[in-house]
Amino acid sequence: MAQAEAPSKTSEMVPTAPSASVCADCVAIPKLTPVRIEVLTDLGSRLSKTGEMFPIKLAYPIMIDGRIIVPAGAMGMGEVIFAKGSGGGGAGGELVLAARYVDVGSKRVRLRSLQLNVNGKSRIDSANAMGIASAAAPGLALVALFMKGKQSVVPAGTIADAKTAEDIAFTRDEIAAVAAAMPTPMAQGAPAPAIATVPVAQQVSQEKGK
Amino acid sequence: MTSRIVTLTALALAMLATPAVAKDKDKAKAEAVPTESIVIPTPPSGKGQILFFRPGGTGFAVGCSVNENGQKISSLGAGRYFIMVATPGRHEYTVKSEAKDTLALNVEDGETQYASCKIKMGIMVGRPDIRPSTRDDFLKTKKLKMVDADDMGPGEGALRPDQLAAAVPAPQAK
Repeated sequence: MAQAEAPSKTSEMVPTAPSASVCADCVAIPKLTPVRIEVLTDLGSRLSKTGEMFPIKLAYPIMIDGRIIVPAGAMGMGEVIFAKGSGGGGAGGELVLAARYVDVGSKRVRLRSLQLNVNGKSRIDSANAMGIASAAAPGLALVALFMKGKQSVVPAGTIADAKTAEDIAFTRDEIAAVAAAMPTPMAQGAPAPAIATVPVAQQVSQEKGK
Repeated sequence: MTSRIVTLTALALAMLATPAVAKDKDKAKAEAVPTESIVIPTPPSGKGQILFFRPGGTGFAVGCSVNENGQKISSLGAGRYFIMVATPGRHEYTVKSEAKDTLALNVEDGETQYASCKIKMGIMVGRPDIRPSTRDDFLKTKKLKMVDADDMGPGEGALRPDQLAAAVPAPQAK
């Protein structure tokens, strides 16, 4: 059994980013380059629908060798992979999101690995405990049955991490054209900090189930 | 009258099933290992994987079989886990007993995701609730045992114990 051979700590191998192929006069962004995106609309387990797309933008520029390749503010879309409102028996709301792409000039940078799956707080254990206690007080069973967990809510402005899904190269002309088209202060800003300025856990709120 | 007959039948069936289920629960508990010692292999090239787990607790007699496209992938008893290898993209999984519950996840190439099943209160019997989870939640579940090979279904993807052993590199000799 694999378990018998297991070392003392959990180990999970993380894939390493392959180096991007570089054309003659262009700068390449390798696959799996970390990016930080901002959600531009309110999302929630009760508010959102499975399959719907939502707007995102690049929160920090993508930099290669100290140079901005894709400026902050590049617009794109994410997808609601799964949304389910909180339910009876204490089940919390569920929200599974994916970042799909940001558009940069005439090119589309595909994204993946969005770190923003949000569960509303589950109250299943409380409802089950109430169910057991209903042996003494039968009325509790009905309360437990209709007890709802909390909805999950991702407010507009939430910042989350994702990665580029494939190698993509930009010519120096394309980089210059995109930079000229997006003269926002953020576009010229610093690269994304190593740690999120506001942890996702603090950004995402819990809403009582209705 | 009809509802009383249904209730009594359900109770009788539950009583019949309980010794076998309790035995399986005891076995799982005895053979469970600390989750922090469970080695999760890298997904095969071009694939992602989902680790399904079910913490112990109430509702151990209720099944939580995980299905995809109507085919059973694996049973998931209390205190058990299994790893499902899948192609990147959207996958929809269902668990079913008195009621059906669904979860969709976006499998990513080279990554491991987590999903958990809990049994919540139902009218006649408990209802399975499958939801996205995290590595931290997996580690918070103190001990788990892998699902036995004969409890895995015909649906492809669930790593059998021998496949898991082959996928995990042997520890290096000192």
